[in-house]
Amino acid sequence: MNHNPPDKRSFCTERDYAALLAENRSLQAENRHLLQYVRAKTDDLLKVMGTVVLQPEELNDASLIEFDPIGIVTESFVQILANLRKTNLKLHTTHLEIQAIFDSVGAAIMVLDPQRRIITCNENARHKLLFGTTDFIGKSCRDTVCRGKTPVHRCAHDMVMTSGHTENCSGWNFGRHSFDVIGQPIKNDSDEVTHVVLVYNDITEHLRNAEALQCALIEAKEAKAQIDGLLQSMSDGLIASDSDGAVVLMNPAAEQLLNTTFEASFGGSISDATTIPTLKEYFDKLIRSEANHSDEFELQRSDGTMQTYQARSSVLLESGRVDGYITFLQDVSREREIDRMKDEFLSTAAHQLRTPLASVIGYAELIMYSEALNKETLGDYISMIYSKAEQLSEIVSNLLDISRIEAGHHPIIVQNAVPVDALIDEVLAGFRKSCLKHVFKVNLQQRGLLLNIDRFAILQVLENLLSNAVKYSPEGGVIKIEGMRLANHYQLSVADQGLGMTDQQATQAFEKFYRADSSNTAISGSGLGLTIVRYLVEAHGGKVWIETKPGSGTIVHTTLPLSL
Amino acid sequence: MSLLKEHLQDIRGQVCPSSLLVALRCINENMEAIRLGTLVLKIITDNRTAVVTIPNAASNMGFDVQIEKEQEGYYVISITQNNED
Repeated sequence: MNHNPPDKRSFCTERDYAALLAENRSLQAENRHLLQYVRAKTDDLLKVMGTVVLQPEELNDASLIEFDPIGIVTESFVQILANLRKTNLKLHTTHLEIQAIFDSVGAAIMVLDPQRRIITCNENARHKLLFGTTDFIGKSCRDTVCRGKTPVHRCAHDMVMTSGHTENCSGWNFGRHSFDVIGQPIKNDSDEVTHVVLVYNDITEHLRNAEALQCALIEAKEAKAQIDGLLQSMSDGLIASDSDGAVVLMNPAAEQLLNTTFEASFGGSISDATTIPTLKEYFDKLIRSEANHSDEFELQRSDGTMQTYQARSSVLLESGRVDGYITFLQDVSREREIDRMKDEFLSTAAHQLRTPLASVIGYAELIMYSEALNKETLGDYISMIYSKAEQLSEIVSNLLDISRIEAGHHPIIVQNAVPVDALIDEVLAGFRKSCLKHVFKVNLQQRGLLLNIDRFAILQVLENLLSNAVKYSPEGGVIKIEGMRLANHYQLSVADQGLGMTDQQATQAFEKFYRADSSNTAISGSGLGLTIVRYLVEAHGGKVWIETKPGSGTIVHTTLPLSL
Repeated sequence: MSLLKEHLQDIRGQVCPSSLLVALRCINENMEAIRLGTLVLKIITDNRTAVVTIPNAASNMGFDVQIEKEQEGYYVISITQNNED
């Protein structure tokens, strides 16, 4: 093959050659123009991409066309636009979500610009702060919300604009509502506040509830104080423990009995709260059995005396399960003493009733089975039966009187003017006949004086006093009745020369069923006579007391009203 | 066994904007695999401007981008599927 270049003159004329050269120059110019255009557009696109322009030494003209930067960037732009569309869609969805939250949230929300102009707000803000105003957008919140009034508290918007941070403003009152206001800044890239979001939380109901709670708390404290007062003043000991037997409450009476303090016992086992073995055992048994218990113990009081205490424990149940225990320690010494005295009384009364009854039966049998009784003997026997029957009648009468008093059936006292000497003569007449071995003396300062008394009641008083004087006086002893007028009343006293009493016996003599010397069964009596005396004298507004010494006799003084 | 593939594009020695253009071409060519999450495109560059322009462009296109600086003085720009897609 011949590769030599052809002689241009062999193909075309000079004119043709010139035309071709011109065409070539034109094409080259057009090519440069196109390349410049491509470079310029490529540079424009690269600027948009945020980078520097393309230098010719980086990519020569031939590589530029082959590399196709416009194609590359355009394809990337398609992706960027698609991504933007997707991002916009997400933003729109997010906007709708935020709007829904904005409108449905419980708080009133306003967005303001730095000049306090309202940009937007939610439904609650329209309702609670703007009262349904419609043309508020762009207007100052001072005109639309505060309505020209200066806020009582610091303005949350001003606080946020000053500090540039989130601010809280508590207790902002508006109309009948109270709000806690939270101001939140929204800043631009230069850290300047462009918007302020104000969130108004309505705390009106909360304040009402807090007030109600406060009232309830005060009431609860008062109730607790009352219960505490009750527990403090209770003479019975009270101990509360939880389901495990740990002490949770103890009143002062229990502290004293167990010789401990609540502070020392709190949280510890109830058994460890006492050193008294029997009580410790009682508590152990209570916790082990989880059942109600009661028992009695002899405990020493702070004054050193031994007293009988009854422990009663109840199990507290909650939904069928043991929730705790309540134990009461009650002083039952008095009740036990009364029980003892009653037992003693019943024993004495039975004995006293049996002795005259035996005599009555004995004499009655003699009358029935003796074939030949003379009139005198028969009269003696009947007289003995009558005497013993009277004795029985007195015992039964006293029992009935005291049982009436115990039952609260107070006998009616009908007071009349009664001459004191006539009264004493009347009561002494019987005693002088039946008690021939005693000497009765009467010493009245003023005879014929009138007392304002129930005659039958005071006759019973004198009979009881004289009966006691006779019982406890030796044969031949003198029994004196003395009377004297005092300023406002009359003092009537009965004195004997009998055994006398100790101070303690004298103090207890007026108690029911009490007998100073119950061991001496030779002296009959129910132990009720002086109790009845005191009751009847006091029913007249008077007093009764004993003056005595062991071995020196006894004087029982009474005061009775004068008839004016 | 991970099904994730890696495609390395070493453009060390190139400066912007050509490094950006090469990176964009590579992203465009592997677009589908990256979006499906089966491919991680790792671009290795030693140009500081490219460490800004390439991640910006990739992020605007909707990809996740991570940049790690290696001790040898170059950067590895990892372009992966956007986790929110």
